[in-house]
Amino acid sequence: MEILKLIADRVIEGDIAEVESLTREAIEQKVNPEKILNEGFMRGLEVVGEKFEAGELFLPEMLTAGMAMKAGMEVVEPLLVKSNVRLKGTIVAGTVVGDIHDIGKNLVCMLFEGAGFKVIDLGVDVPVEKFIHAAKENRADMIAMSALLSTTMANMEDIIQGIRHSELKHRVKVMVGGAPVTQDFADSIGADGYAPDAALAARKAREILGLF
Amino acid sequence: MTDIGCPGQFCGHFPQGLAKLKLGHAVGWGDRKLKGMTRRERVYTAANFQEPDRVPICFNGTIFTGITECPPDGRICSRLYEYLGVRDAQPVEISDVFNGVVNLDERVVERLHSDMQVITPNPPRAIVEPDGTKTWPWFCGLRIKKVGYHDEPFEWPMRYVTTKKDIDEYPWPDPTVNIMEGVVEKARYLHEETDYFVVGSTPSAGFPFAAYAFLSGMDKWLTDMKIRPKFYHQLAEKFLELNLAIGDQFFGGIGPYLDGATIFDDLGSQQGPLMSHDDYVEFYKPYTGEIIRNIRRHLRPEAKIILHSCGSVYYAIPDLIEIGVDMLHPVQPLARSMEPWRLKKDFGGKITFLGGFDIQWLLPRGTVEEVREGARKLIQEYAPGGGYIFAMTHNIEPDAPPENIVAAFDAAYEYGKYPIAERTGQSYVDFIGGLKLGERQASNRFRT
Repeated sequence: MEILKLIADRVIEGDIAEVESLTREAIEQKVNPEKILNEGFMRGLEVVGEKFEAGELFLPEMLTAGMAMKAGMEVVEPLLVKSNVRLKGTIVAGTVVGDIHDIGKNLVCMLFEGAGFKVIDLGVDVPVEKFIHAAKENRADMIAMSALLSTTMANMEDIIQGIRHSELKHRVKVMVGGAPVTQDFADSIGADGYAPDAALAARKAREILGLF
Repeated sequence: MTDIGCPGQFCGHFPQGLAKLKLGHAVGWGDRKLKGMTRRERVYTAANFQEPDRVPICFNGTIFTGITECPPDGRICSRLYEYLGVRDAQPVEISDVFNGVVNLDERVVERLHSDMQVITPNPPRAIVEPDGTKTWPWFCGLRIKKVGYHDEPFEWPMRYVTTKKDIDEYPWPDPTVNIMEGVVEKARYLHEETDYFVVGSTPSAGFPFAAYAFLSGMDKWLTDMKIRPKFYHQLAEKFLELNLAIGDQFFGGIGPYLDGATIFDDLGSQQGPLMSHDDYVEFYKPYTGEIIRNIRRHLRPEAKIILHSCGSVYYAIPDLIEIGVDMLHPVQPLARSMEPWRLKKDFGGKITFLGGFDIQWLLPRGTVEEVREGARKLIQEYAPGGGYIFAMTHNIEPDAPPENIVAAFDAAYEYGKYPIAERTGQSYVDFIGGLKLGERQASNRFRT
C-alpha cells in the first residue's frame, strides 16, 4: 500500500511532521492500524536499524527516526489498544544502577517496539529491586539492561544474581548491552543474550524468546 | 573509554607539592639536562616525528590522563597513594564534575614517569545546593549530581532552549570573570623551573559541543542537527563566543609558558562515528577549526594542539589533521577501526598519538604480567619513528588495581627505550581480546 511505504520512508528520513500527518491520512483512509504499525513504522525502523548496523546511518538519524515513529505512534496507539493488537512479548528495560547514560538504551527500546514488543522503560540508575518489581508487575518475558561505564557494567552481575534468587528465577530472560559490554562478559555473568548494537539487539531478543 | 559521553576532569588546580618534593630526586631542569634529554625535549621530539631517547609518558599531563577519586567507595587515588607509600599527601581534592583529582601529589606524577604536566585555570567553583546536587553558573548553569561513583551532568537545564529568543534570554556566564588567580605564576614556574612539557587545559574547551550535550542532553545535541539546524548553529555560535573569550583570558595569560593546549569533544562511540562525516563537516569541524586558530594566536609556534575525543574517530582524523590538531587522545584502542597498528599505518607521521592503554578491560582486569605485555605491544605498534606518547585512555577509574597502574607505567618506561623492536605475534587489540577478560571479576567488586 502506497501510503504505508511513504510512512516507512518518512520514518527512515526522520521526518516527524510528515509521519504524523501521513499516519492521520492513513487512518482516514481506513487503513488497518496494525498494518500502519507493522508496514509503516516497524518496516521503517527495520531499515533504519539495518543501515545503522551497516554504518550508513548514525545516531542523529536513528534518534530522529525514533522521534518520527513516536509521533506516528501517538496517533495510532489508541486504535491499537481498541483493536487489541497482540504484541510479541513484554520487555522491561533500563540502564543499571549507578549509570545515567541512556541514548543506547533508548534506541534499543525503540527497536524493540519496532520489532513488536511491549516495552516498559524504567529509565536510568535502576536498581535490582526495580527491575524485579517491574518484571513481576508486567509479567515480562525479558529484562534488558544497559551500562555505559566499565565500572557500572560490573553491577550487571549483581542484578542478574538478584533476579535469579527472586521468585522470577529463570522464567525471565536477561539481555545485556552497552559500550564496554562484550559477549564473553555477558556469558560469564549468566546473561541469556548480548548484542553489540540496537539493531542486533532487537533480533537477539526475538531469538532468545523463540520468536522469528 | 566511551561511549556515548566522556567522563573527564574539569576545573583543576595547580598540583600540590610541586615545590615541596621530599623524595630526594633531582628534578630541576639543570639536573635533567645532565642526565640527557629533558622531559620537554623528549615530548617535542616524539611530537615532531622523531625518536627521542625513550617513548614519552603522560600521567596527569592533561585533564583526561589523570586519575579519579570517587568517595566513599571508589577512592582509587587514595589507594594508589597508599600502595606507593605516600602517606603525607594533601587531602585529595576533586573537580566539580567527573571526579578528576586536581591536586595530585607530585611524587606520584614523578614516580609514574610523566613527562607532561597540566595547568588549569581557577574559575568560580560549582555551588553545592541544599539537596547535595551542584550548580555551576560559570559552566553555563551546569547541573551536577552524584550517580554511582561519579558526579555527573543531569537535569539538562538548556533542554527547553529551542529558539534564538531562548538563547538570548538564557542566563549566560560572564566570560571576563577572573579565572587566572595564581595561574600565571604557576605556569611560569612550570616553564622556567621544571622541565615538564606544560599543557594548558580549560573546561571551557568543551564549548560548544560537550557543553551543548551536558546542558541539553546528548540526544538533543544530536537531533538538533537534524530537526533545527539553524538553531543548532545559533546555539553553537553562542558557546563558541564564550570559548574564545575565556580562551583569550587563559591562553592569553600563559601562552608563552605552554608547550601544549588541549581541546576536547567526542566524535565517536565504541561502535563508530557519532554522526555522519557530512554532518561532522557541517556542524562540528568549523567550530573546532576556529577554536584552534584562536588558541594558536597565544602559543609559541612550536607548541602543540592536543584534541581529546573518545571513541571511533578514524573517519575524522584527516579533517583533524587539516584543521591543525597535532596530537590525538585517547586513540581508544577497542573502539571500531582504532587499533594502534591501523592508525600508525594510515596516519603515522601526520598526527601524534597520545594514549592507547586500554582502561576498559586491560587495566582493571588484566594480571600485572598481562598489563606489562599489553604496554609492550602498544609501544611496539605505535612508537617506531616517534609520533607516540604513552598514556591511559582516560582518567583512571576505581576499578583499576593500584599494582596494575604502576605496572603499566613502569612497563612503558622499561620497554620504551629506543630503538623499539617491531611487534611480533598478536596485535595489541587481539592480545586484549584473547585474554577473555570479560570472564574475570572486576577489582572494584572487592572494595575496601
